[in-house]
Amino acid sequence: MNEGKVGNIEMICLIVNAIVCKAFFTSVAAVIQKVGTAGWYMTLISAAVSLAVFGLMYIMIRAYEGKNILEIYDEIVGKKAGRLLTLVSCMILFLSASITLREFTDATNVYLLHVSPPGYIVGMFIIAMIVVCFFGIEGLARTAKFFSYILLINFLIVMVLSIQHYQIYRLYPLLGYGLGNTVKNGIMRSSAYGEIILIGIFAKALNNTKDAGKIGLKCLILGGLFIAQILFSVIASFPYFTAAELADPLYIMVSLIEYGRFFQRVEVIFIFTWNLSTLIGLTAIFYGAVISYCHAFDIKDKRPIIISFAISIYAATLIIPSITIILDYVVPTLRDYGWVGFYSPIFIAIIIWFFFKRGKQTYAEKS
Amino acid sequence: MQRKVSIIITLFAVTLLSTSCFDAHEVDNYAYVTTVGVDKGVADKWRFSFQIANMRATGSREESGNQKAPEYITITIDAPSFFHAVNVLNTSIARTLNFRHTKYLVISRDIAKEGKFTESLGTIIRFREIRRTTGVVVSTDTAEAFIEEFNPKIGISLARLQEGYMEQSRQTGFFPEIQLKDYYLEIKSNYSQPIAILAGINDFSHLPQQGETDVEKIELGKRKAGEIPRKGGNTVEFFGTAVFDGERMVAELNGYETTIMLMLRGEYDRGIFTLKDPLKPELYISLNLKQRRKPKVKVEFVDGKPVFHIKLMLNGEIMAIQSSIGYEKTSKIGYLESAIEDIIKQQAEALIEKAKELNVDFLNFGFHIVKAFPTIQEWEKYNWIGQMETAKATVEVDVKIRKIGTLIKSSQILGTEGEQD
Repeated sequence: MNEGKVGNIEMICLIVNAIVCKAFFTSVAAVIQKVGTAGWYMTLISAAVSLAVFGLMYIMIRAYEGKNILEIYDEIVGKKAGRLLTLVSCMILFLSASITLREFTDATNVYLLHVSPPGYIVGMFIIAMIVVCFFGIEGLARTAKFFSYILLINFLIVMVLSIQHYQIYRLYPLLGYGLGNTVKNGIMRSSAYGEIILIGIFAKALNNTKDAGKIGLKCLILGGLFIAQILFSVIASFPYFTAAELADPLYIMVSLIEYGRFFQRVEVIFIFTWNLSTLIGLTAIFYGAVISYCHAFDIKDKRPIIISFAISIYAATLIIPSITIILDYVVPTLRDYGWVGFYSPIFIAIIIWFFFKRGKQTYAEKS
Repeated sequence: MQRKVSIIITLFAVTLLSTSCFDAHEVDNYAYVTTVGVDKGVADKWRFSFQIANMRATGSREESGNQKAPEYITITIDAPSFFHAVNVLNTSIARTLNFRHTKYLVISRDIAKEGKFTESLGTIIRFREIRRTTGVVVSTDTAEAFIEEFNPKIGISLARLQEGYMEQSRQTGFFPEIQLKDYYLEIKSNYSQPIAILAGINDFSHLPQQGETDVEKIELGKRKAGEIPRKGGNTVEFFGTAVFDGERMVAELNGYETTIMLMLRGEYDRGIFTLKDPLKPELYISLNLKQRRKPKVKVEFVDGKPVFHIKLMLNGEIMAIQSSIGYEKTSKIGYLESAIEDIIKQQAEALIEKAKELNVDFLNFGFHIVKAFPTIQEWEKYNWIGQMETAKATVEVDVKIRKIGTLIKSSQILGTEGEQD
């Protein structure tokens, strides 16, 4: 498979979709449940934490120019331990994709396709993911850029139209359940931006791996602003005690838009955004998992792995019997502890590099 | 060759997948419910009434024989729960009841007073077909009778009529525009208490016959839904507000009180305000009043009790001056503005007193007081709901008459006896 090269804007579109698509589902209500009215700025704390971790990853990418983060793991900790770190990344991306896909399926089932079996919805979605993945990272990134402008316009339209339901008093009490609680949850839930590691995984597709720094920074700023805007609009539209009840607050907020007799029921615009952004985002995450797996086992041809991963993700998505288990256990666990999977390989690698490799590298460069 | 085969297979797959999916339905698979009503049942716990749009008749106005096809049908059933009723009804109408186009939920005053909205209908919000923009109405008559009458007597479609009612809230200010989302948020709210639209059926018996003398004269705006002295047109009236403490309806507001309530809540759009002429009290002046901006509300705590300083800002346009006194002159316009300010101030203070007596915050004061609390724990501990009786309020009204209609002065009427007043 020819991976091709990806432009910086294309990469930004891809990663921002991967980060933001989760906010279309149950995570918004979960955040409000935890931090109340402070949710909209809590996510900025999460973005800041992710930016710090991304900074660590970028240090390694700069130190090993021309390599992606998976190859850097191998360089720093050796092939065997590197494989382990790679598989941790692969696993968390796989889980993230399957859980978000399940959230998407349940939301689609509730609001759009009431009778269609979940397997049918998941199947259709995965077929689309496979098709895009077969075109490689270049095709994926081009698709992301092509649709992102349309998605951005749609997003802005629904956000502006929703202003009619904003009530500023709903942002009060401003500190939510307390500043300490907000900061704690902001740090814990930094996994919301965990997909930023995809920049490291896709680094070789960039024209210059050094560009990863500014791409990551822009992705986190944009992702943070989008998610903060989503949370802000939901909190301003619903009081905290009601917003925490809703399965899909963003969809419900959009369904309330009503300007006169003719301009209403505009949630169809949002459904378009919801579907496409999720498709692009989840395909990026899925492809990141495939690349990680192929790298761990030195597999050159990714196509058979794409098929087998697709079947696995289909099973993993549907294996959980009900939405209540997803809401009570699966999603909260992923969001609260997902940072372990996303960031621990980076922490381990940077510590080892800093104490054992950096000096040698500097010496080699000087001599 | 392989590429061509792939393309053909893909096209076949797309063709197959594009045909339909499990959720495909024709429009006539459904019976679209426009209004749902609930009363206390006789054969079972609740009596549900469903007004269903007749898709054949809507818009076409076709007649079969001498009979005009009705635009709607009403079905009533006694059942233990809403969804049970729906399921049983589906067996008799050979279509599936669909609530995507439901415009109103109507509950009878009895149910509202017993606080059984959620028990009877409130959990409906979980139902994906019900839109949260559905209007919530408390009927002074039974919901069944209300729905029977809830159809156009003047030549517009049923849907247009029902949408038109809601628009009149913004045009008149005599009833609030309350949707299911508002009602649901407020029954759970620790900021304020819920209200609903008050509506009733007017049997036209309140219009006295010509020549009747012993008629009690009540101002129009002080009447309630179903009691307006009129004849002809639609029998259904939206007029006034039902006030709730939690789920239990505890009071009714008349048209004037509703207007003032909307002003204090910052939800008043525009409406005709009629007052006695300050210089000739036997005559009236009508103005089109518009809320210039949401009220400014400052809150302070005195001895631990909240004091609200409210400033209402309104713009007016003179519509009619029966006395022909030149209030539009710069020298007199301030006099008229002050008279309006005094009336609105008195009515607002009276309404705040009423809220304090009921100990119910239907004026949304909680929206302002919450800003004094930094965390949710402190706010919930303060427990504003139930503290309305401790509140004090001062009201300031600022009315600016900016438009005077098509006349820039009112000349005196002349007759053979000279100038007439």
